[in-house]
Amino acid sequence: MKKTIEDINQIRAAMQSQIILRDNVDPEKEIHIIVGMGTCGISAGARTVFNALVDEVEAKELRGVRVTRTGCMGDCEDEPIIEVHVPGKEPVVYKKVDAAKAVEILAQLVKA
Amino acid sequence: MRDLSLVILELACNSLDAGAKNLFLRLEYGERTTRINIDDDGCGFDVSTLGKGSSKGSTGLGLALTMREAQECGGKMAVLSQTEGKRGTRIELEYPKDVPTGDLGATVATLICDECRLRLDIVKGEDIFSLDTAELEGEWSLQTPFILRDIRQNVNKTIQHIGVGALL
Repeated sequence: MKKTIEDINQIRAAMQSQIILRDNVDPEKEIHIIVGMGTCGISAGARTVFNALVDEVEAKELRGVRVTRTGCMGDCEDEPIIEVHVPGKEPVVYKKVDAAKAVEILAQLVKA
Repeated sequence: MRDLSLVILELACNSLDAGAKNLFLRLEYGERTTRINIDDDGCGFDVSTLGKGSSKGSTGLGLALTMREAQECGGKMAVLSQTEGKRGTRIELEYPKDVPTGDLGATVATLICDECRLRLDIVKGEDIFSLDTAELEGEWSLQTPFILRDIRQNVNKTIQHIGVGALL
């Protein structure tokens, strides 16, 4: 059963023709989404939000969107919280986000 | 936390926030118990402060809550940590085998996004599933979404194969 590494290398080979999302993106033009993942965030569903965003970046083949996590953002009762950084604009914080809302926020960001 | 994968995410995020560059996760499914070990090379902490809070706020509460939660469902947790010599932290958990594993793949994918080295061993009897991001370094970054998705699916396939109740 120990075949993971071979599996993933095969997947890599199969995907060679696909686009590489992070390549050739100027970091200064990158949209950065930060998901709060302290104890509060995790228990409120931050992992689902995080993975929904990563999935959507892939599904829509979005370039120049980076999703990362951070610790507790300080308003535990409002978790899951995401903070969106768009170059040249003030950061925006969204509270009580779920997977569907996160995907919608991402769609609006990309449209804008 | 509603399953083991969320407990692991919680503890591993602590490791990453402590500056860990190497993270070793081991899940061992036994006849009666599930054992989880989490080792890191982060900055460590003073175990005597666990759960007491600090001037910085609620530091250490997550760990204390995890310990209480483990005890309340019939398991136990041990923490070994040193702030000297960069020896990091080791957390040992033991749960009754009925506690569901949950979406371990999502936990692993989330952790890989932090660009640390992650080694995961899932053991049941003679079966061993291993994943080491150090061995996966290749042409593309592991943080590329389709690679993350495939790692996630691979881990969850293993959990289902072992038959330990992934909640997907």
